Amino acid sequence: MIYPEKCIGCSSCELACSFQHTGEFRPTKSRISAIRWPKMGVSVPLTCLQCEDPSCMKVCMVGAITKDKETGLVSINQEKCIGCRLCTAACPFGNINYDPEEAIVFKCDLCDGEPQCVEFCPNNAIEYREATDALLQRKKKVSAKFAEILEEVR
Amino acid sequence: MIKIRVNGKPVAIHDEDKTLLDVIKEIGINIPALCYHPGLPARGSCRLCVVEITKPSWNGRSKIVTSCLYPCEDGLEVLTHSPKVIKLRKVIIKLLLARCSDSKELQELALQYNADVSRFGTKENEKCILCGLCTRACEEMGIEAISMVNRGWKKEVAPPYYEPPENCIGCGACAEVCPVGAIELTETNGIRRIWNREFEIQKCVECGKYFATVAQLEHLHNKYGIPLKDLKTCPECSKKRVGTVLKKTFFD
Amino acid sequence: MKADFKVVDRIIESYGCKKNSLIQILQDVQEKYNYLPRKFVERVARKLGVSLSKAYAVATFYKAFSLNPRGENLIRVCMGTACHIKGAPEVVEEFSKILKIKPGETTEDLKYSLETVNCVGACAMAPVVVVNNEYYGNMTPGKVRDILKKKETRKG
Ligand code: FES
Ligand code: FES
Repeated sequence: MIYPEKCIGCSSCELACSFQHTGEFRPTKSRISAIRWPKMGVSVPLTCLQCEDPSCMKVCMVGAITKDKETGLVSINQEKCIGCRLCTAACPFGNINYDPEEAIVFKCDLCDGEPQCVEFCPNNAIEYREATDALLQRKKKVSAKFAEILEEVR
Repeated sequence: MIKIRVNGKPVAIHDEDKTLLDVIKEIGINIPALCYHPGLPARGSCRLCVVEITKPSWNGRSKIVTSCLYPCEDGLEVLTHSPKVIKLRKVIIKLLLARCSDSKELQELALQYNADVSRFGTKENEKCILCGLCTRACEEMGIEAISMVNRGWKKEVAPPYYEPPENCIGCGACAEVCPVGAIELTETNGIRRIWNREFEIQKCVECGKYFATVAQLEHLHNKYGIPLKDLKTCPECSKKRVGTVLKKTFFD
Repeated sequence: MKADFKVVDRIIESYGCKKNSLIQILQDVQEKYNYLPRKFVERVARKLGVSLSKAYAVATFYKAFSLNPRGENLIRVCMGTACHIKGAPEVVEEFSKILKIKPGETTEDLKYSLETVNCVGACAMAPVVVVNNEYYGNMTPGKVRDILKKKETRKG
């Protein structure tokens, strides 16, 4: 669960994520990123939403992207990936990226259940929890409003 | 559950669809397998993954099989490095190396297996080992822009009539899966070149970064009905767009 | 040309427009036109729903198919092991010299095509030349002119 109102745009999540996955502190290799509006003092952390019906998975012809039925995690099997990169273009949220150095596509993998971004966020703007009724309620509300605004900007 | 032995060591296999090569790799034994890719159907064309198999009931007889195609059968005894296997693998390496003498991958293998090519003449400027991974990748993509054409010593991978393939989307998966780097893909000034065809790369409408070929995006549009205008931003800018909407959701 | 497409379409339909009839269909087209014109390969692929790359792969794999026009008379000289050592190369050379074409080519007047094949299964009478469906055994360069003359006079 993401709480943009709590995000202070400090980049801790990006650094923690890139370090966890690549051993380097490089936000460009992070699976999460904070979109910032410094003048307004506003920022929003964004990462893979582990979609119900993921576009990335749909366009992957070799079954390298799968969604775990139990955990809901959408993950990439690097071994199976043939590098067509269609997933990076298909994700409407831009949450799969291509790393030209390693020649792989990458996305959030929830750090096997212990997301480092959550761990290192100083203000609890990102949480990783079981979905409770209250949380789902909030999610629904947010997404309804989100959809509304999305329609407007399109 | 299936029980087999690999080099004398008992292995229990739960997934019956696994091939011998899957099991061999899983238990950490390294054998060459150039035409194998976990995401693509196996074809057994490089022959490097050969192993010797036998069963107690075979009265001491054994068979040589390509492990990437052979299913796990209960009671199989598999030898990945028996003298017979090594000898055969060596010949295969020699033949492949005679065809593609400049290939680093093959030279490494030759070193490992102590194989020299002196017996065979070498072909010049050949990189492709005809393993068919590229054609399989293209087929899985549902594109089929390239195939194995001709036969015998004239066999090669090519698009129909050796012309720039019309249906190719320039995704580059063929080049990506090629185990010996034989397929050339270059990118300069917003143009990707592959199979003698030039592909325009889409410039992100927000930031101007090149990110995918126009043909790839059109393919996504045609096949999945994703509106083209939603495809014209690079991942970073798509993210920003979502961020903007979220910002409005929360702060305006 | 339109009429030709109809002919091809009829061939396709006679096999029920099935993907796995690709080879038979191409064979019939080859029989009819003596080669596989590109338009027809494309047509067959499209009608059967197989990719052009696959159809092209099949068309280039089998010796029975030719993507270039073949002459009225197809001369195939066996270059199999037995024929080779009994002098087939000289026979090929003689054909080449008289017809002024190399193996794999067709004379300009579309009368003759010259090809080499690998063993036609008649090694006992090596070297062997097959013209259309007639077999000539124990060939020598000297007999080449006779064969060609026979073809000419028969056509009259
Ligand atoms: S990997 Fe099995 S034959 Fe190439
Ligand atoms: S080698 Fe010519 S017929 Fe056998």
